[in-house]
Amino acid sequence: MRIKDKVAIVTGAGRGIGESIALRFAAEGAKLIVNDVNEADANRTVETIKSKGGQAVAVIGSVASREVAQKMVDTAVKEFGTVDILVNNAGIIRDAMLHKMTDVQWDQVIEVNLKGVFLCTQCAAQVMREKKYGKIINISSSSWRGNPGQLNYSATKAGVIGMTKTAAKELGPKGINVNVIAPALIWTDMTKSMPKALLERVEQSLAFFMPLNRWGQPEDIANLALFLASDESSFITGQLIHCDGGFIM
Amino acid sequence: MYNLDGQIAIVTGAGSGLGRAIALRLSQEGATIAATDLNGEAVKKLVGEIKDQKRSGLSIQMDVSIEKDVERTVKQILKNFGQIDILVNNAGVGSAGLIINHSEEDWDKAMRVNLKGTFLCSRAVAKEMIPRKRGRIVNISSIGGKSGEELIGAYCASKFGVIGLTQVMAKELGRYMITVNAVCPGYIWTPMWESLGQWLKENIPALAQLSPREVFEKRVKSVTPLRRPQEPEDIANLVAFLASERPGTSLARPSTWTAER
Repeated sequence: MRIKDKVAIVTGAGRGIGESIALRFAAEGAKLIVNDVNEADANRTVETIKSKGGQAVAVIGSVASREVAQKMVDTAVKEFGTVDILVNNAGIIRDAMLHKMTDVQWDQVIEVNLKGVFLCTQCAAQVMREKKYGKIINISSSSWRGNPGQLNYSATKAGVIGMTKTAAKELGPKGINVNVIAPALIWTDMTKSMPKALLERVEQSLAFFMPLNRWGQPEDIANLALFLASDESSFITGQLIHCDGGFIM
Repeated sequence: MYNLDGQIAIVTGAGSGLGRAIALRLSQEGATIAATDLNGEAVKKLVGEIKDQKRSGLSIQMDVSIEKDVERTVKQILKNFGQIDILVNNAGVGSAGLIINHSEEDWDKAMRVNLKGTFLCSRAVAKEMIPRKRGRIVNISSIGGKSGEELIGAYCASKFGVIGLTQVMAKELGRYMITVNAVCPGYIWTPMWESLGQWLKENIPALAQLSPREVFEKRVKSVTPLRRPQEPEDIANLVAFLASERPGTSLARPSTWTAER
């Protein structure tokens, strides 16, 4: 058990990467706050954890709301006594080319992917600063380097990297590690929703840009998140780590 | 934690410091250690300790910068254990001084050990890993491999080189399911830092009253958000993670542990 009895909040933990991280953390002994905007998804993750003997509580709602962010932290403190680990995983896409992108598409992505990380980090850091211990793990994306159709998404994912580094510098002296993972081509509902033609093009050219020549699995990200959540990585902070089969070097 | 039972790991420069900590950690995870060092006595002692803990190991005196030495060593390891799963290119040297005072020997030594050594060992081992379609290569670079730092010119150049080599090998070997990553340690108290501390103390009036160690500690405090120097175990933890089967991924920016572009 690598994070036994640690209390972890995972946002967007109803599906995909977030779900995988929550299950992995629970398997390693952590107590989970499972957040998702979709109640059924969040409850399913909680049930899965409980069925394996773990402890988890769902907090439903959008990370873009300060009330929800605060509620996650309050629930963690009330149910489990504290907050040790925060994984800012919740994210959405509203893809469109620049010339077609609407204000609504822009605003929605900024609210969840960028402001959500700020709110959750601020609320959790309050508890972590007091006890001088904490691990914050942000999920960015390879799109931070630019990806056609993802002007809004890439802006938020690059923003998260800046936020990570500033938070690492501010919180380092308080014993809090802050790192960011940039996944690419992980096989989740989000990637499955790519247009069919694009998906086929990716499949065909995978070997050209992906040294490991395979799609990633949510578990690949969960393994890295676990390392960053554990004390094995206690001297690593402010780092961007690409977990993407060699896509970006 | 990572269950490296049955895996064979080579650690170069395992006689002291980082390499020693890495070898001990991989051994605790269950790996059989082939420990090499220029100092044969040091690795003999290390392997003695490993065997005392009822784990297996083999010590080999080797100069990573000599092709024949490396080839002979790899043959010997294969003869003993039949396979190689993990290679940690840790052997390294460094000296401190302004670039205008670098001797040709200083330059050649850094390039020979830090860069050519990594090339020679990786080449010999990768050839063995390819047919088995598995392997983990971890190179030890440095924060000096991400940004040029005063007084360690040749060292920086060689460690930048290690990152380039890491990226090339990651791309070439990825299709054989071999992951190649580089780790960039930061401030660790070593003989190189002792001479660096001495130089800074002699040349910066504000530091004149301090010992080299105090200079080092002052520097760590002023530039490290976590406010503590690194321990060899910090690096060993990361190497163990990268050497494990679990990640199953390449941490694609090999040097991300220290800095962004």
